Amino acid sequence: MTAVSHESARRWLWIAALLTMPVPFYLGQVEWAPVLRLAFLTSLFGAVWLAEGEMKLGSLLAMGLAQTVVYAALFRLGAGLLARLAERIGSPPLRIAAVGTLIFLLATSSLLPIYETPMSSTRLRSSIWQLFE
Amino acid sequence: MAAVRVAVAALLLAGAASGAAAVEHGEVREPCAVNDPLRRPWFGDLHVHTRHSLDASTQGTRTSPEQAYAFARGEALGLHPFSERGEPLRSVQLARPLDFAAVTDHAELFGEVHLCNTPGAPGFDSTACVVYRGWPRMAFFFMNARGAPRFSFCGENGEVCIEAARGPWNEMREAAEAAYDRSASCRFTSFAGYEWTQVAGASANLHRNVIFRGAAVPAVPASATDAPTPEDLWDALDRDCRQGEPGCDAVVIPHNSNLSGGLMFAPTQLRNGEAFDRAYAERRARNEPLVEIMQHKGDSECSVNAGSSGDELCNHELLPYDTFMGRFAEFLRGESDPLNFTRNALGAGLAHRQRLGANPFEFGIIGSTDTHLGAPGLVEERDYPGHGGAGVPIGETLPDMLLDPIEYNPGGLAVAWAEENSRDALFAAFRRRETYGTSGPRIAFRLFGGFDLDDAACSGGGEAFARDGYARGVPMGGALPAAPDGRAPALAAWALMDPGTADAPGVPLQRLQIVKLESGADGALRETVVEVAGGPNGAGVDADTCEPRGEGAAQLCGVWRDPDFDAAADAVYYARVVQNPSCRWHARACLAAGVRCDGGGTKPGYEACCDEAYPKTVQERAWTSPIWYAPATAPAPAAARPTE
Repeated sequence: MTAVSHESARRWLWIAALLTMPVPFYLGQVEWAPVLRLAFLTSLFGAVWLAEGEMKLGSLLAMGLAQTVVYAALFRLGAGLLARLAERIGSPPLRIAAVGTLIFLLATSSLLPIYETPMSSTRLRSSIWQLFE
Repeated sequence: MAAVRVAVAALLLAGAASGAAAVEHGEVREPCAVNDPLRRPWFGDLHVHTRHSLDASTQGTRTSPEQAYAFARGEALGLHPFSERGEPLRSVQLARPLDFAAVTDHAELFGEVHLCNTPGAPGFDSTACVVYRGWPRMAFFFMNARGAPRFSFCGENGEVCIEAARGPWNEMREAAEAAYDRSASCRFTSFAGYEWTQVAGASANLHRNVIFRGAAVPAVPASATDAPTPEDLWDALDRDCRQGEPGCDAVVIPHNSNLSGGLMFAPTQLRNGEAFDRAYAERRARNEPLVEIMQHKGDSECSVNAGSSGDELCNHELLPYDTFMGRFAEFLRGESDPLNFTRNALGAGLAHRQRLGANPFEFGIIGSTDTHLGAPGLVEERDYPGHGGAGVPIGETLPDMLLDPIEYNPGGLAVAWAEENSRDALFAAFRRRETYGTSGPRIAFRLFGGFDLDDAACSGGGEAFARDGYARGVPMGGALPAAPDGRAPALAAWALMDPGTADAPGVPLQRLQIVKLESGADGALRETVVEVAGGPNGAGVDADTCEPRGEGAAQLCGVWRDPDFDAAADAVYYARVVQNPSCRWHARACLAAGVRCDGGGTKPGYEACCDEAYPKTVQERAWTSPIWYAPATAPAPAAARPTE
């Protein structure tokens, strides 16, 4: 795998994880959902905090930001490790297939209601399409 | 069962020939056709949330105060989920209407929520309101976290939101007025009220319900935003109600002390952190004559892990956390502080009295639901639809799952012994603490204490029991007089099982107990639990059908003369009665869903069914208000005794 394709594999795996991999986070209540939802909910807190200020709102925002950054960094690290593992596969088509399969599995499972979303107004368990209703 | 009904009638109708008791009326109304000088138990709910509470509205509750009172009076109530046309897809109805109720929505954010829901109102287009309408369950957290200062759209001093709060408040008070039966039939009494919703630290519950005596109420309720400590709340009630509105009076009822992180009955004043003094103790007892011992979010009587290790019956509807946030995140769960529980608070009160000459924790007992569906008195374990508050999200369809967190329960009832079902009579009962709480069943429960009570009081029937109790002793909520030389007080308790209904017969009684707490001169607190009637009887429940097994008692009565009475020591006594075991709500729901926990696996949404931390059965119960003894106590006030 060339340097570019390693970078490419790392980036795609990282994006797929951020979009689909359920992680536990706490924003007043514990959810198991992708980092993307964490970032989205944090941005809502951020919008209210920008409009209103106030320490307690700021602490919710800080909590969301901190978790987003930590998970994003962990996933970047994990994606890098996986990309490095993929490098050991000799055949380029097999490498692409391995990375593609991982991404496909993540994407496919995200279509099922695998996320726990008690902060949703409508569903305790959501699929990726229902996360942002 | 017919015998039970006859016994209930005998106890409840006792004394009809004794002439009318004098209820001090501060309102214009028709006299009640039923006025029993020996008083009757009236069943009600003093903790009810409707759509005006932030935490009810953010989960889809649409019940109005008017609908909540209609439900309490026996009408059907539609619940979410709602169809696209706005029709409720569920309906509930009480088999037996309540006698009284109070809608007690959270006063905090009344104005903000009203503005956020009113197109064109100031703040409607603010970021906070847009997020509130779009992501209500998330908004619950940031709006609650906001506290003081208010949102910017409320104006510099919050005047826009305070003014807007009049809308929901007026609707609540008007609904209470409209629901009150002022005719001679006196079928239903409604009280204006609200919940003062303060937390300490991260999420320690200090909540209190404020119940007003009559139609005279403050123009705007004092919320925790503007009156942040209980002392500030009492100040506000003095200023805006007792001194500001002719005829206005109120009682304040702390609740959910099990989630207070030990702060509900902490020994320091919350406004300034100073230790109690006598003036504070007297003021607290005057303002807060009742405590809610049982509700949707658990039993706050006692805990085997917090000072009552010898009392196995304390293992009843205990929550696995000690503050609100424990509900939302396991890593925030802590051990319960002993002062989360009313029994320990009663004991602490004795020590305060010895030190200060006044007892700040001289409170009576009630139960209520804390429903967030606007469904007062919905306490049946059978077909329990959840009470909503902080429950699961419900969208357009009902999810196939347990409809409440497993640690929650359907809640309890408040019962007041009063001559008639009117605001004045019931409020007087609240004031003199002649009340008790149940975990749901409509058990009739008497307790008298006195040095001259007849040791054979149980043998004379209901009327004689009550007559003797009032004539020679004090009822629950009262204080014993000074001890005559060499005499020990007797406690006489009588409980009649809830007869239930034809579709859902009541469960027989199993055990009647007196709980005594004594604080000796050495300051040590001694706790004694004595069985005065009934006892373990081997009754149980068929786990496959939830059908009860075994015999129980239709009534239990006992007179217990305290063998260890020390005339020089402060003491407090109360009675507790428990039913035979019956199926808990989640066991019924799991059974209906076909879940088996014998290795056959469960199903999504019902995983908690097989959690052994939650017993499948529950022993429903009732607790009386206490009777106190203090070495230098004056005779009980005349108000505690009915007029003969």
